[in-house]
Amino acid sequence: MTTATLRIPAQTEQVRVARMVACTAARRAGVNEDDVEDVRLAVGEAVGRAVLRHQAAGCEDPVTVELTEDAGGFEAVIIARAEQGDQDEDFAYAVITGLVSGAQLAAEPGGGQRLVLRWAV
Amino acid sequence: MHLEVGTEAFGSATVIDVAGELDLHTAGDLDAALQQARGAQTLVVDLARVDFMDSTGLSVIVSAIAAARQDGGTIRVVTASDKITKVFTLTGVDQQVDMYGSREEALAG
Repeated sequence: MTTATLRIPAQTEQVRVARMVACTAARRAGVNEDDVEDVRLAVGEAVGRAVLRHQAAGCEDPVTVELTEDAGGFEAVIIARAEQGDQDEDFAYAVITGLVSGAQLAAEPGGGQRLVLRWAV
Repeated sequence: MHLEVGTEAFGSATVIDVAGELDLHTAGDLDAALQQARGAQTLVVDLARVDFMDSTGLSVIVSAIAAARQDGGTIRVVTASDKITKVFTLTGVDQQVDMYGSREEALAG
């Protein structure tokens, strides 16, 4: 199992970086090209949502993205240290859950949320 | 900047031509163009050259659809790839707006 961890500043321009790295990691893990596009979109949605939460809360912590390649597939974990505020996240969730069956949302110890996205290989 | 937005007139229609990546960081550029074009009887949002679009880009278009309805105008959307169309279908927005496969089709209505 190989895990790469990204810690990106909560800035909108950084979401693109997370998308690009996630796509590269997914290809390396053997995810097929059609699903790599889903990785790009779903990770982008999740990181964008986390960035907006951090900005709304004035949270200066970075957004964490853990990308794991294992025998069964590829996993992206996006950790936001801030809770949802007034942001409308309906479209983002519709996209994420439409792309990734079994997307898991859980409370993060110490505050915030973690979203787990997984693709089988 | 990884998004380009241009506005062109085609008869009574206004076309917003969008190219690049339409996301959280760039959606404001499209929003500004749509605001400037507000009031057009027919507004075509051409996403054929968009390589990536997320839900924030979609939200900007949804706001423009609502504004056009309020003004008595029409918005038509052009998508040329499944990955862009998918954002509309996953959110159900494809049911709220007329979608076309090319600018020519959209202008013809």
